[in-house]
Amino acid sequence: MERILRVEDLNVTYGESTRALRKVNFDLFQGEIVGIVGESGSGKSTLGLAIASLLALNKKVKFSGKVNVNGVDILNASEEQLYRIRGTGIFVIFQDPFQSLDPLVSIEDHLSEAYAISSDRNNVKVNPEQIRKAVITALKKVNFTNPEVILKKYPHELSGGQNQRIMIAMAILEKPKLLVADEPTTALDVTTQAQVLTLLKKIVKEEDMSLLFITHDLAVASMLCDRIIVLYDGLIQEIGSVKETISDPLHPYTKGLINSIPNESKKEGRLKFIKGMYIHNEVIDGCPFYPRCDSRKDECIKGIPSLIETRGRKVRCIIYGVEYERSDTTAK
Amino acid sequence: MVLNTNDPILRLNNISKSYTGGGRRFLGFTQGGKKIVALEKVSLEIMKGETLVLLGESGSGKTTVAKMITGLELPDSGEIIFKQSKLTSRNRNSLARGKIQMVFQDAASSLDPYYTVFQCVSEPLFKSKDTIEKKVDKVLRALENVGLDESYLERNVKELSGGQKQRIAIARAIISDPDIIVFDEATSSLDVSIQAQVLNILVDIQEKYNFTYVFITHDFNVAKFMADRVCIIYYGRILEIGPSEIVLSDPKHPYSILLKNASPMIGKEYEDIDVMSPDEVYVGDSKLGYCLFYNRCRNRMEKCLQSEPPLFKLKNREVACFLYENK
Ligand SMILES: Nc1ncnc2c1ncn2[C@@H]1O[C@H](COP(=O)(O)OP(=O)(O)O)[C@@H](O)[C@H]1O
Ligand SMILES: Nc1ncnc2c1ncn2[C@@H]1O[C@H](COP(=O)(O)OP(=O)(O)O)[C@@H](O)[C@H]1O
Ligand SMILES: [Mg+2]
Ligand SMILES: [Mg+2]
Repeated sequence: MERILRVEDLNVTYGESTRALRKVNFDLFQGEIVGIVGESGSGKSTLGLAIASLLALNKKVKFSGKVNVNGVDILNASEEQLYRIRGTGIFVIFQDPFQSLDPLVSIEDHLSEAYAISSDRNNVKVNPEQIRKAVITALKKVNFTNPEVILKKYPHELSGGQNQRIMIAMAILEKPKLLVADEPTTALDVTTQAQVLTLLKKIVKEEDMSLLFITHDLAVASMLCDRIIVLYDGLIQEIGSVKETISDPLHPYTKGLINSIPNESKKEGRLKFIKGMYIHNEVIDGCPFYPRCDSRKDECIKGIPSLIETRGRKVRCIIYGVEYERSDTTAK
Repeated sequence: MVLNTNDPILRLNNISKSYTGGGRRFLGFTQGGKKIVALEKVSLEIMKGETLVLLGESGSGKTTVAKMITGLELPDSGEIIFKQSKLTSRNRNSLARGKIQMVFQDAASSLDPYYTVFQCVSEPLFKSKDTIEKKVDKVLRALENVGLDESYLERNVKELSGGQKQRIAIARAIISDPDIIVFDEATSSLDVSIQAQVLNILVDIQEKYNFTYVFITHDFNVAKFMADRVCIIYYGRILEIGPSEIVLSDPKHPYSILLKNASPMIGKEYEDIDVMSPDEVYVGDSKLGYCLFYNRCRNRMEKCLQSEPPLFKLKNREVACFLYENK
């Protein structure tokens, strides 16, 4: 399988001290859907921005490490390289479609431009008729039964679910290798969410893209993804196939997260919960989950446990072997 | 364990409520200057000591029901009966003050950020003749019930996390010893591990004090955990109502079935999700006299266009769908 994305030792800090990501390492392969799961503040969006090469827009951000998309080192790329990779190499769908859609530009113009750009970058000449045909085909693929009507509309005339489908149509037209979606359905109703996600999965497989799907909702990730990466306080705690991760979670945090999702009636007993709460920027030497963990030991705070391989999966917990990261985990 | 007595503690009789839309969005569409029917002749009984869950998507009218129950707004027509007495704007204060409390999704907006925890939680007692010692005592007891200790008393609300603020809002809701507490998406913005803590607290204090809960959510899993009875609403109508173990495990209304299939569940796969998007089937004026789910329904019949299905009584539940007319 071709590797589309490799993230190596990525560290990100905001300002002087707000750590957002630490020692993040993972790969994503052609055709895969990988979920980034974690509660608020765990660093999910920061990871999405880093991969989309949008981090440097924030002047207060400091980062180190490598993000390699299709052979280009995003964090150290030139403006010219970034220009070529944005959209057609990596395409981002945000929770709020208006981060990408211009309210003053019609749906037709948005989609036509997307197709024109990708054709241009592939050095293919296209005429207006071909563009229109491609645009209509894309709209049909995202289940608009009346593409001609939708083309004339402006983003503010469409619903949240419709605009997310327009974003997916844009992705179809730009043909990126890698799609990054940051909570794309979090603002939608569940029935709309189900439709958008069913569609997203189908399109990713059909168009042979790869998807990094960022969500706070482990249930949603489990329904969509091939693999799951669990983040806590900027550290990857566990990586594994969805099946193994949800049926046999390794990390105590992953276990707690799964147990916290209600699935029975209160008459069957109380919810198993994770005690305490995540305190942002709390100074903990060692495992950040230590204060909330039911399986904690003194070894947990002798250093940050390493992400170790076990049974073909990866987990950052000393239950599976006492090994620590080297202490240098702050961004320069 | 406290059981439901068979007495309704609160009844909504034929409550209707409309708004004039000033560019509000409903299922994503802007309805400007138009009459929006938020509730259409809704009747509900809430039994003492039970948790009635209102489950529905955004714009279905859940918050409007909450506003009617708590008296934040008045219905256009219909009546609200609390413990045998009809509530009017005039008598509500004397009959129901402190007895019907509400907890909002965004506690931060309902709590004054510059108040201390003590000021916030004791606020509903402002007219009581309790001594300050008595008030402190009550506040401490309320805080203890939501898992917070006395170290919180003098802290400012603005320094607290989302989960802690939500606990403060609950402590404040229980301090006046209410009969009914309405929770409007009270845990929806919390991280799931914190939500689990708060839901457990709610169940515990209900058992302890025999509170009656009206619990509003759009989350199927949360509904399943909290509900004794569940009421599924859509476009201001009740589509299905009954005991939660029956309605949620084996929903009957085609919309209830869609809602169940569309709800994320760990390890499940989406099944039977229509390709047709709900937001393409705009119903507009929702007083058209036909089934409002018609456009999205795969069981639709000619009949569904001719009149709006009333709630049909089945053995253990009621369903507003002609499929169940003669069952
Ligand atoms: N622009 C920013 N400036 C300062 N801190 C930020 C910024 N964006 C995010 N952070 C902080 O970085 C951490 C990770 O944030 P984020 O990546 O948004 O997490 P998530 O998406 O998982 O909620 C959080 O503690 C957040 O407060
Ligand atoms: N103050 C208001 N002005 C105009 N329309 C309103 C107002 N409050 C609610 N509505 C409309 O009434 C309907 C029901 O709203 P609401 O009860 O808030 O639904 P829910 O809580 O289920 O999302 C929606 O169409 C909403 O837009
Ligand atoms: Mg985020
Ligand atoms: Mg509401």
